[in-house]
Amino acid sequence: MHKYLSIVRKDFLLLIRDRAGLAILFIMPAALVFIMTLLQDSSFRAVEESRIPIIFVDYDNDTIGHAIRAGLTESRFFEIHELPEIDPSKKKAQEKLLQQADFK
Amino acid sequence: MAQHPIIKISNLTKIYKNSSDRAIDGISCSIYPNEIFGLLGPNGAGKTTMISILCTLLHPSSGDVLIDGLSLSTHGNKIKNIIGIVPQDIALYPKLTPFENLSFYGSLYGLKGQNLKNIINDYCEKFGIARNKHNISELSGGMRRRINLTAGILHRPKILFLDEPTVGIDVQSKKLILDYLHEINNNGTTIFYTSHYMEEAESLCSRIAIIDKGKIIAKGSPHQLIESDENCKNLEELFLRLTGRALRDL
Repeated sequence: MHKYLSIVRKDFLLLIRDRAGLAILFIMPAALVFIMTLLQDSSFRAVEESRIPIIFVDYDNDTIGHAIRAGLTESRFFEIHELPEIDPSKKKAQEKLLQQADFK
Repeated sequence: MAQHPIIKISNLTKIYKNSSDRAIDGISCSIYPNEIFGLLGPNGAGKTTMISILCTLLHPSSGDVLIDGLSLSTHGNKIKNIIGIVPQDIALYPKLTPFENLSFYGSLYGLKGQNLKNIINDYCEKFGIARNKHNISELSGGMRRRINLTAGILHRPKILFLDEPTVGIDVQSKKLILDYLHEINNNGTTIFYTSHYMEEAESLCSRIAIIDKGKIIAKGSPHQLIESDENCKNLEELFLRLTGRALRDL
């Protein structure tokens, strides 16, 4: 035990007298934490600020459809686009546009 | 000598990984209590490998060593308690003061408290070491060498291994170190010593072995070795005759 204590004492003395070593020991991890925080913050922000555009077509027009719409609207991750009233005569053409994701 | 050897090396071989050369090639040798045994050789001859094995820092590829009757392969930890090591390179922490360094090394050998402080103070006084004034990095080469030596002898070891202990120091420091080695040898410490300084080895050692390419090529007292070749007047001449003049560390 005495030997281990003297090794600890020796290493402690060496550490506190080595200014460059001390700087590396404390400043480097602090810099790493700072840089990682910035990186993570920007990536979180990118995720939070970007919303996935979706178009909601509700042929059901009943409680389940309404519940799904309400859920998607409440979520921060989706941007819901409304379709104009479906003209029965142009339904096929509109469906084709939807399949091509051209709904604007 | 009728005494039992304190170090008995039997057919010791060391081959490093990724090398086909034998750094130590089947060396057998005995070192007796109270000897100052010198191991001399050119660069790369195997001196440091040999001393590292004897100090339990390296495992031999084959062969065994008995130190004070304990086998190196099975009693490494017990052996560490009875030996002291003074390495070739300064093994001190540059940012610590001499006292902090010596306290650390002393505590590794189990010394503590006031006893450790007293021992450090004694050595600091003997070797003219400023205990707490400066860090090691601010001290002269001679002072560092003296502290390096002190770190290896704090626990008063039975056997002391010295790997070129007087490299790069002034005459005064060298004299102080060599006088102290004589003193502890007179008090019963066996010394195993390597060096490139032939004159120093000639005056310090009771027996010398010359090693080259991992093998002992000559062994005996300095006097016996010099007399073994009538063309040689001193150890340096004999050394050059035995090991050649070609550079070894190219």
